[in-house]
Amino acid sequence: MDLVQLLVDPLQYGFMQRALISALLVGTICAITGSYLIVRRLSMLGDAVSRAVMPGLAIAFLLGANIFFGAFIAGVTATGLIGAIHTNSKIKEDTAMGIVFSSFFSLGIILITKIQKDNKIDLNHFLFGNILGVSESDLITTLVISVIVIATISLIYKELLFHSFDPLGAKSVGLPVQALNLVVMSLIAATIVASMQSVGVILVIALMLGPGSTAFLLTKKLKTMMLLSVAVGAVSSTVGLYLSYYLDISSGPAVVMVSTVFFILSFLFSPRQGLLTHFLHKDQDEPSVSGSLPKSAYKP
Amino acid sequence: MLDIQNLSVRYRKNLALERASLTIQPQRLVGIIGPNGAGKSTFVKAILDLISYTGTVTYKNKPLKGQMKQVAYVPQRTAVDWDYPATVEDVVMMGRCIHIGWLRWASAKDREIVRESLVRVGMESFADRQIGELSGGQQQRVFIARALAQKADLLFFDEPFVGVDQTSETIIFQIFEELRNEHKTLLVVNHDLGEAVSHYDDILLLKNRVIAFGPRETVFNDENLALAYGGKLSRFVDSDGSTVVLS
Repeated sequence: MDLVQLLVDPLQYGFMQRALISALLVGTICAITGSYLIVRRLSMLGDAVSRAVMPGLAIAFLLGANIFFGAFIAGVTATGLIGAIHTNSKIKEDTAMGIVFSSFFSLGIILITKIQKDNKIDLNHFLFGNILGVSESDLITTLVISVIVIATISLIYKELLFHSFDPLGAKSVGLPVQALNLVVMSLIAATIVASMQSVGVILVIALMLGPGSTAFLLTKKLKTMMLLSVAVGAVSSTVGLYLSYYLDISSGPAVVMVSTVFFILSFLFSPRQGLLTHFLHKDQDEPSVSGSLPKSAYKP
Repeated sequence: MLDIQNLSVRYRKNLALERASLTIQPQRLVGIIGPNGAGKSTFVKAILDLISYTGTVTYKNKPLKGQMKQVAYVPQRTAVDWDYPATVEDVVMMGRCIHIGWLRWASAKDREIVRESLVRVGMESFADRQIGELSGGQQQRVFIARALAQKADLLFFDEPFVGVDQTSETIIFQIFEELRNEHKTLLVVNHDLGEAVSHYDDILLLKNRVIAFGPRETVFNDENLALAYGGKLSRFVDSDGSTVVLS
């Protein structure tokens, strides 16, 4: 069987076509919003929000509302609660996140296990994703969310850049930093909701951080970091999906492992930061500027 | 004219700044001096509405809050993540952000202003460098270029000389003096009591309240310094006639 056939063969099935489109969309938006998580050091918050969506989708299901919308509301509520706890008490943000996300997650599991007894709903699908079960309406939801996420970030890119780099400076010139924060948090929650079906809430954080950190080590501008991150995310999703098809393994973990391979390569061989790059250039007389001084020299 | 009346800041139960009242004349280079924890940064942040405060701040007889376009602020080095994926040009372009406006992109004119600002601080050949790849002095000059690109009249610098070498410090003071001569008002938080003090027109001596404010010659004396630093200072007169104080 030649390579083309290897790639085209699975696509004769409708579910594989939908899975591939879904994987590409999810890989793209996770990479973009994940880049914000990385540069703003909010990775833990992303992780917290991803677990916190669970009770929202269960409650929405019970009420007969759109489960994606319910999940989104729960994610944003959790972010608000985390903020409220740490601004109104001695509790630090990391602890507040731990408390809120584990409570939300637990409530979500209780509600979903109750529901799944009487309905055709499977807790595992939300936890680990079921990309081969993506329906046409799921795909449309993912597409709509992706368009919203990409459009929003393109339109307010320069404000988000300023705000994420220097929040105080941005506030001092009168940018609405609270509103920008809310926008970023909403985009993160929306991305998680869109990814639920394909990678699941447990692993979505990996898909947000893996491609982003791979690109972070290779670029010096946020825009190029995001674009490269999208490429890594899309390739990881596609390769992961095919691996899952041919090796009969879960799609979510397969995608995550592929993106981890990219990260390891970047970590070892990045021209400016790579661990092995440093060793390889050690013998040469003129190392790069960034490599010539100890990193601590740049830090206050 | 920047007028500050009864400016107070409270962190939980501690009064970080108590009823500071002063009027800063235009076209002055003002040094904000005081020991650690004297509320120097707090004072600046309150003026800029970055933290909650009581009191009033007016600029040209109108509340400063509505005239933030007039203001440029350079935060402390430690407040910045130097690994952030941004180039020197990106950072200076942030100074144009508010002028460009929502849903618009930088124009050729904005790029020209960014380039001019970099030329003024002597950093134009570093435009494509990632900001973490610069020395402390160069990083500070990039932030000054950002303030220049903002075309603000009122400039605030929080500890701009921390982690900065002597050459860069001299260059930065040169730029400060040029800006002052171009009718701008500069407020500079300066922890160091060294030779640098002689560059300022006015000195604001803080210790959780205003100890003294006015022209350097009248404010910078043993009595006021003892009030702010509690007498733990020795003062020398250098061979060139400038005063050196060691804390």
